[in-house]
Amino acid sequence: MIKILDFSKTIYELSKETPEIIEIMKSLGFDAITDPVMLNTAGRVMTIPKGAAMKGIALDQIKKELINQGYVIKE
Amino acid sequence: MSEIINNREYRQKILKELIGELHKGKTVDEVKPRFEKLIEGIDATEIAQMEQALIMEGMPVEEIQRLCDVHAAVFKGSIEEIHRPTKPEDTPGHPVHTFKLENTAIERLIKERIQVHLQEFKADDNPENLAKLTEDINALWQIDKHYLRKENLLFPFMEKYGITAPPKVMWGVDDEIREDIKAIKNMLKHYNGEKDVLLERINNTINRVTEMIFKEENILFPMVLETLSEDEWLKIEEESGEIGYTLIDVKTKWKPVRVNVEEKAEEEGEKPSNDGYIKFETGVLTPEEINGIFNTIPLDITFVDKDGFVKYFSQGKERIFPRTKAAIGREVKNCHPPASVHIVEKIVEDLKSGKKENEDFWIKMGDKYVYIRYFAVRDEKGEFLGIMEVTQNIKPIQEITGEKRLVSD
Repeated sequence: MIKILDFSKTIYELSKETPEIIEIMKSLGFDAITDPVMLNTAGRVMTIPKGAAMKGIALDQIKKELINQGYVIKE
Repeated sequence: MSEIINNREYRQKILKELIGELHKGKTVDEVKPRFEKLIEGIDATEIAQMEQALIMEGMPVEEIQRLCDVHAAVFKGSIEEIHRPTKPEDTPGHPVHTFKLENTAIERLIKERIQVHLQEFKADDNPENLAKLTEDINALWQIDKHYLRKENLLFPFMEKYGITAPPKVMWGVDDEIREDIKAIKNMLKHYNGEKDVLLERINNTINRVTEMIFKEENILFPMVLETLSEDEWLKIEEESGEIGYTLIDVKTKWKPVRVNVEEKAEEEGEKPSNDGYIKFETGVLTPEEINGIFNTIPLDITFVDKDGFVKYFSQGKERIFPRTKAAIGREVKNCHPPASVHIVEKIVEDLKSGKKENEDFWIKMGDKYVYIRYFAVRDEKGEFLGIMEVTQNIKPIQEITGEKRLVSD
């Protein structure tokens, strides 16, 4: 099955659809993502591209890692 | 996609030039043809957005207003059509609008002054360059007011809605930024030639300030706009002036849209009774008596008319949900947080259509047990007149047992 990650969706939505990305995102530097409270509040307005810009992580690096893990990215 | 963006940027550039020309004294008629060409095929919203972008860039609102004459000349429609903001937060004076203006001002301070002066200071740390940097950092300290308003006026509402973690984290970072700026001020005051240390410190701090702006605009503001009701924004706005603003002046007072219920009633053919009396099927009462009775009934009553405007509320001694007179004439949906508006609208729809005659809720609030009931109000022909909300603390009633037959002392 193809696992699609829609970059326009919020991190909260993505975490509900594909819970396993939480660990991947964490390893990429999204350290607040494992905090359920943050995920439930800030996570509802954050998208991966916004989060990357905020954390100063190159979006390309995130994409590469996610593609490596077998995801298809929808921008 | 990019050509659309470029197009927009291009149009914005032209718009700026046009404002410049008006500023230099060209008449509306001289500018009109170019403006007409510029806006060919785009709608009023985009013009409004372009103007908004220019305001955000720091162009004074008065300058933008010069364009009004041109709009009026070009458009057959009214000026309001162009200027009616699509969202409350785009309206000057709305707390989020003010916060964003400040952020733009802070970014400009960093880009146009601090970074330029840092370069000069790096090349030569003479007293003159030191003085320039000192002045900039003193200006940056004004950020304290931006943070104070955020922490003292905005955060309490977020906490009320159970959003506690983000404000806590943010407040911590605000404090660290303040500490950093204070430390830099001190280093500048007692400058002892440690240029590299100072430069690094300033660079770090402006990075953190910029990051905070990003967090506010991308997380905080979208989140609170989803959560707070119009009344709450009004409260924040009213108290903002006391704390003050960062690098900007706020003169415009934000006024949410509301309807003059008296005029509306008159238009609909209702006559004010003034000092006469109101005839009921079961008797007569003066307006004064009606007022007294409604405020004495041991229930809180709010009435929303058939079009969804708050028309009346009673003022009992211990109102459970305090209401301010500012609520009169407001659309009921604006008195609720956006996230729960759909529920309110559903209730209104069901009562209006007759699907339901009432909808009840009961909730615990501290030591109160609050019974909230919504009723459809109809005339004798069954025609919908509006919705009445009745709230009551039923805790004391629930506690009643046995009998009481004697008068209390």
